[in-house]
Amino acid sequence: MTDHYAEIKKQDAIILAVSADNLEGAEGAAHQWGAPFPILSDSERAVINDYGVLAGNNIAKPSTFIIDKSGVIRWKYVGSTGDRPEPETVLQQLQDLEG
Amino acid sequence: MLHYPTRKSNKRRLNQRPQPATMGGILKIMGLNFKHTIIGTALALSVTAMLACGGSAPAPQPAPTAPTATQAPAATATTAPVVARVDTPAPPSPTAIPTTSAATTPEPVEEPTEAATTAPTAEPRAEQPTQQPADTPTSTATAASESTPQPTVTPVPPTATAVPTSTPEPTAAPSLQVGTNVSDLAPGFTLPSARSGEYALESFRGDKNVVLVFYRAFW
Repeated sequence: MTDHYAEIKKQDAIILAVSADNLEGAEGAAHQWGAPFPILSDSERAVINDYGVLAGNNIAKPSTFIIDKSGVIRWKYVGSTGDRPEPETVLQQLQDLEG
Repeated sequence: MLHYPTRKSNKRRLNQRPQPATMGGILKIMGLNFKHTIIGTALALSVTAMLACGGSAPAPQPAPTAPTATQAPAATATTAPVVARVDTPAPPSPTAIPTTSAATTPEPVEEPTEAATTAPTAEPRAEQPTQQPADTPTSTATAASESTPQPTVTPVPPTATAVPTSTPEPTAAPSLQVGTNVSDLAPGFTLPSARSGEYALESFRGDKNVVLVFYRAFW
C-alpha cells in the first residue's frame, strides 16, 4: 500500500492505518515500514469493535474500508489472518468512485 | 197483599232516607234538579274539552312569548330559526282562544311569568340551535382550512423544485444509518497517531476519500 500511496493520493484519497497497538507500537510500525500515511493507535479497540473487525485474539482482522467524501462506506474487504486486498484493487475502487 | 205494601213501605223507607252516597242524594240535598245537573255536567265536559283543545293551542303561545324574550339576549342568527317556528303556531292559538276568552286571558298573564321564569331554560334551547349553526360554520371553516392547506401545499413543491439543486446531498445523508455495511454511514472516530496528533474521520468529510486500513499489530 505504501508503494501505491502516491497514486492513491491522486484519487483525492488518504490512507488511515489503525491497529490495536499503543502509541509506541504504532510509532515502531511507522518507523519500520516507512509509512507515509498516519498510523493510528486504537489500544482500547473501540474503533476496531465499531467496525466489526475485532478478532478473537483481541486484535484487528486485516481489513480495508473505502469511505467516500460524504462519509458513506463504498467498499470493504475483511480478511481472516494474512490475506489483504491487492493495492491495485483498492486503487481501482477509488478510480471508480471518482469516475 | 201483605208483601206489596211492605215493598212500598221499604221503598219509601229507602227514598225517605237521605242517601249521601249517591249523586241523587247529594243533588237533592243541594236542592238541584237532576236534569239540570246532567246539563251542567255536559257543559262542564264541553268546557273541559274546549279547554283541552285550547290547551294545545296556548302551549305554543309560550313558545312565541319565550323566544320574544330570548331574542333580546340571543344572537340575531340564533333567533332567525326560532322566529320561524313561532310564526306558524301563533295564528291557530288566537283562533281557538276567543271561545274561551276567560281561560285565555289568564294564560297570557301567566306566560310572561313563565317566560321570565323559563328564560334560562329557553336560553340553553337557544344555545343548542346556536351550537348547531356554530357547528356548521365550524365544519365550513374546517373545510376552508382544508382547502387552504392545499394551496399551501401547492406552493411548497415549487420551492422544493427550486431547492433540489443543492438539496440532494443533505437529504441523502440523514436517511443513512450508521453501520459497517456498504452504503452505510461509517462510524465516526478520533484516534491519536504516532507522529502527528489526532485524526478524526469527520475532518475529511467533503474533502477526501478515506482508505481505512486495519492491521493486526506491529508486534
